[in-house]
Amino acid sequence: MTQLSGTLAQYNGRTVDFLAFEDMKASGDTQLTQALVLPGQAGALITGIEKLVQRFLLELLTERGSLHYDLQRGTFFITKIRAGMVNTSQSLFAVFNAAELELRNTLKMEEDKLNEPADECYKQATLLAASLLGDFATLSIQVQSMAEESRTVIYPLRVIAN
Amino acid sequence: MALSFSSADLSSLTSLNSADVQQLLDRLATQLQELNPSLELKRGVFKDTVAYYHAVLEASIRASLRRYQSARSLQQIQIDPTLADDTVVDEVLSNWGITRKIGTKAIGSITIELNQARSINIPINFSFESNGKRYFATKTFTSRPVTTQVSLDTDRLLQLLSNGNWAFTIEVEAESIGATYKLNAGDSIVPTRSITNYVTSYVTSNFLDGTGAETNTELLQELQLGIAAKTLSNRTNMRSFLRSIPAFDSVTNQSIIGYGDAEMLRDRHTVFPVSYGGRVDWYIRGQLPLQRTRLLVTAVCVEIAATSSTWQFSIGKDDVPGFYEVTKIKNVIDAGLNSGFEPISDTRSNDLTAAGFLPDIATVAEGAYSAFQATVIRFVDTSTSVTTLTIGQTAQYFCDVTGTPFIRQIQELIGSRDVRSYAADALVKAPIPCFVEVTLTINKTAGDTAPSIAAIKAAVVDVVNSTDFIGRLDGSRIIEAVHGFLQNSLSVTGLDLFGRIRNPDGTMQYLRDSDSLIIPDQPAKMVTAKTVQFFTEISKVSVNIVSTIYTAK
Repeated sequence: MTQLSGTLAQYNGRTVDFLAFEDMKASGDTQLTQALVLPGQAGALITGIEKLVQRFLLELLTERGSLHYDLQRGTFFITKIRAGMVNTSQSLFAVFNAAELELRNTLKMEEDKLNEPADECYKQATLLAASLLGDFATLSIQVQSMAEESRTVIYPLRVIAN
Repeated sequence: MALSFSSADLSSLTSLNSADVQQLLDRLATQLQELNPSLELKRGVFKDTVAYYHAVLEASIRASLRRYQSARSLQQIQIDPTLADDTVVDEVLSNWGITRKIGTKAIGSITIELNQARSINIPINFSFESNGKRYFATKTFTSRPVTTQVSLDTDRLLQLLSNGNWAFTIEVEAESIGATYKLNAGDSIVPTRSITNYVTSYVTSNFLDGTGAETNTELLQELQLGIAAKTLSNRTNMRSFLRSIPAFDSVTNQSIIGYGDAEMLRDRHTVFPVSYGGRVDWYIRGQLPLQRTRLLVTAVCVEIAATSSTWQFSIGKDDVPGFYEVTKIKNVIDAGLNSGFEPISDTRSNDLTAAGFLPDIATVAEGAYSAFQATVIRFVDTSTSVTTLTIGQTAQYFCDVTGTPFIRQIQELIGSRDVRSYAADALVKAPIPCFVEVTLTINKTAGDTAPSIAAIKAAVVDVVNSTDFIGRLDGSRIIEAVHGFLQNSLSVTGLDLFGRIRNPDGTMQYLRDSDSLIIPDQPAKMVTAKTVQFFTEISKVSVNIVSTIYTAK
């Protein structure tokens, strides 16, 4: 499988995080795999809007209260789904919007907007489409940074595994 | 949790100090940021998963290390004994010959009365309650109406009582360790579930065992005893000697009166009014609670009146050594009922007829509450018919006696030739008793839930009975114990302390105060702070709950 990779120059002067959601594509629908390292591969570093999207996903999918010593992190998004509160697309929208409000405060509070790149600062996220099919929920989410539309997508920086 | 580095145990990951974890996480992030400026350490996957869990594990390791460090030396243990790990403290103190007293559960037998002779099954762990504390059947017991049905040691033959009921006994064990679970003969104990044909149940004989486990703080206080030689020399040596004998683990407070003490009368048996030494009065509280013992005695009728009769019996020095007083006398045929008589006279004496070494005891008061004390009791029986009664006729009675255990055993031990001091005689005595009654009122609003009266009474009893030889029982200590059970705006008022000292000469002294009971300093009577102990029981504590606090709307 061909994997997208950024260049060293793109990472110059930026801080990097580990890639936690593998298998992203340049465009179109994709099913992400949550893993720091896939079998036979090396881990990857990310920056820019990718880092922001990953922060957003982590916050959305972390159940509030599950981090024993950081109880305010996360949202009730997964908690509500697990509790069976989501049974229509409309309810999925409602649950997402509630969670987005929760995480917006958390993400914004930990940002330093004066000293950090705008494409790493969170503005908002919108659920564009949602569908339920059996046990599967498909979400199409648009994450907006403070850089608005003027962003450069910097792909993960990969190291070849030996 | 035992601290064991060999098995790589960690402190529980869910009970760490949150501030410690956060502090470690911040420090870790700062140091890693210095090492790698391009790594995102303010937030994100690396910080929230990798660094976060590293901080949690590191905090756990440091917590274990702190517990180890706080227990690795006497200096560190003494700084905060509550923090030190029990296992490491045990190991450190074992270097000085100190072993922690492991608590034991009180165990004893109870009698269950039925109104029919039938087989009843009491399953193992069947629970009973007494004074708010739970006890469990040690095995599955079965009552059997006839002897031929008894084949196992858990088959209990039903005995016909004079009141028409049938009784059998079973063994029960306390739910937890501690002296507060000890019950005395005759105490009421009731099943928590129904038993077919059940009438009543009560303790058959005084419970055994029942001692508390020592805390690190208590263990440290005994440190000097571990280092000291176990001999009858100075006071520390003597207490160390007693502590080294496991059979006397339940012994709590001790006071040793000797040469130079005003309470020491036995070293002045000369024509000159001076102390010449060589005598020791060793006051020992054998267990925390007051011990009640039931004796079967044969009384002789000595006087007959129009509707009542006067009876007399004696209690020898070996019957209940060092006992305090006879509280109730019941005719055997009325044993299951609540009737009973009180003594009208209690004439003490000293029985110094034993072979071997005998302490120097000159007066009744000097031998009071020692293993050499004996008495003759008289009481008036108002229930036995006098129609056919004659002077000299005998009858059997149950006699309830209060005291504290081990007086004879310790006296025999320290009186033996190998153990006793070659230069002095030591007389073991039960402490002079001050029987205490406590009354208090708890105020609450109408909406407040009433606190547990049973738990409050137990706490008050514990405070009173654990008071050392300090000569005073302060109300503040009782109120402090009660406040542990109060919430919201509940308060304690109306504290009333009543004390009755039974002097060694048999006279009584009464104390009453709302603040403190202070033992009068009467060394000529051997009654001082160094010789008197406070005793109370659940039945002597009254807790009134009133809804007097106004609730503002």
